[in-house]
Amino acid sequence: MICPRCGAESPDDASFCVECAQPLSPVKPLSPVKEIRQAGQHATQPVKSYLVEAIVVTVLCCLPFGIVAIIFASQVNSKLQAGDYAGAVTASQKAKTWSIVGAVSGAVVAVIYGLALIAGQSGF
Amino acid sequence: MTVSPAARFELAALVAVLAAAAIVYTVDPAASRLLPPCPLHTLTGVLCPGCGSTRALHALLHGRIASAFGFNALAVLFLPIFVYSFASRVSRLLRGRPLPAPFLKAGAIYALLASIVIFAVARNIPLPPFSALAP
Repeated sequence: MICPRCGAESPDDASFCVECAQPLSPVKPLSPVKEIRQAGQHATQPVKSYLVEAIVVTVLCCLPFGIVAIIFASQVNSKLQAGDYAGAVTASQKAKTWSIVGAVSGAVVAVIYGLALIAGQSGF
Repeated sequence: MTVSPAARFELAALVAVLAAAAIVYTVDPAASRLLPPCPLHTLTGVLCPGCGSTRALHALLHGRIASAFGFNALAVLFLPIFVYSFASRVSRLLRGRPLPAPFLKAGAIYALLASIVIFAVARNIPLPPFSALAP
């Protein structure tokens, strides 16, 4: 552990600096700075629009849910452009949710349809 | 090497897509009952924007490009987007970062949406030239 006052190195578990007796906090004094930096990095992280997922859902199975997902995908990008990061994250989550809703409902319909086909062929 | 559950799910999804492509390559959707027709079309007669896409993909994988366009022009036109997205996911899995993706403005996304809806409506009109869009 580095003493914040004199810069001398003390053992990591030391409560006081071995050189100048400055109290050493076990919590690293750098942590608030680090948190701010992480928040800054977070703000520059790209926000996924889930556009391709939304298009796949729209074309291949579930037009209504897919359209909702595409509209939220467009909101992600328009809000990013307007500098509304929080709004873009919210729209991104909604685009993801509606893509999943569409994909799952498509899968459920496909399974029911498949079972109906099998039942129909075997004469039940 | 530790693999996160999300990465494992992603890997499974990518393998499933490849397996589906292999099935569509091997099996002729027009002739086999293994790839059943669209339930919406069977029940209502309405053509959705995805109707014919399995046959189109089958034709495309066998190099019959004109025939693929005839089954589902929209799916053929959108296929490069899906392939690029697939490649981007593989890249993220292997190298930790996706391929560079263009930033689409909201207007461009609405244009994509409009093209899907117009295609869906037009291919259900049983008159030429619109009927050419039906599979």
